[in-house]
Amino acid sequence: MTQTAFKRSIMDGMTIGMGYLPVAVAFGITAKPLLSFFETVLMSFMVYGGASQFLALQMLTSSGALAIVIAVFILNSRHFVMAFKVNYDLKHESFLKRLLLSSYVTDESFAVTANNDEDQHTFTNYFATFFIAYAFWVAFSAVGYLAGEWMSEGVILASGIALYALFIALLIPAVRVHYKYGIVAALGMVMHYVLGTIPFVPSGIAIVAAILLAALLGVILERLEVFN
Amino acid sequence: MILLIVALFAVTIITRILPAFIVGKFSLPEWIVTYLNYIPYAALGVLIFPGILTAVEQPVYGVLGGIFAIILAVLRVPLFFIVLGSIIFVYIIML
Repeated sequence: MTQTAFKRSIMDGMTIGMGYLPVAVAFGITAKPLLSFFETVLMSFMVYGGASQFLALQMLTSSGALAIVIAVFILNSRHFVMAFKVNYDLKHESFLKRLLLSSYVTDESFAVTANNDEDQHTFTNYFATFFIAYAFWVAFSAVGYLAGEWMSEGVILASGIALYALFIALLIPAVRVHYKYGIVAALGMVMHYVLGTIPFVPSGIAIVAAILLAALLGVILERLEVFN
Repeated sequence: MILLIVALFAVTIITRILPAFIVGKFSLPEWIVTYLNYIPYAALGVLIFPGILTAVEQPVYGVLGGIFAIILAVLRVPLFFIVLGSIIFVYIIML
């Protein structure tokens, strides 16, 4: 490693931010007919979750406030599992520092830091990664709201691949370390697909259940010494 | 509207910060630690598929973009440029 852990953590934050950029811009554009500028930025500032925020917008015209809150809670419950892992990796840090970092846990900030190097496991490094990503999210929600119509539609559409490219880019190095991580990921894909096809299962439940089941199968396969 | 946003803030922050109160209270059994170590990879799989099919206009573009990202990752291209390269690739094939 030629770069310091801190520099790598800053780059990680920028990478997540790059992935957020198109999603945040799209959120700003989608929110414009429904919310004021202040409400749009406030939502990104306080809720900080792409899927949750889009879901809220989608339900705004058709559902009551309570239904929206429950749906977002279920969708967001996956962050409990992710924040648990973040807290475990940083269990040497103080409670307040972990509490602060936990509030910035997203799919992406979790996935990136779960794969970072041991020397990045400090409060400062995590905070750098998490806060830069968060700043991108809030700032580009505002940009999308204000300047969405001047952006090239083709670029915004193509940018939809960004977060998936990020997730793939995180998975491949793990598979290089051991193929068992690829198997568990593939199990997660199958589980999510299968649970997603069952009617009346909220998408949030399907996501959490698929993650927990696939990881559990990983443990079982390891216990049965299927992996070598 | 502001009230709704505050309510959404409350339910999203709870799921995130709850583990901070639990972790560190007691030591975890070994199998749970193994389990936790699999969580990121299970999560990556879940987050990639089937979502990638609806990432861009057509499922096939999403899959091609995903394959391009795999190739870049196998070639050890840095994370940031995999994300950027995949956006450019999908933009070009959508033209």
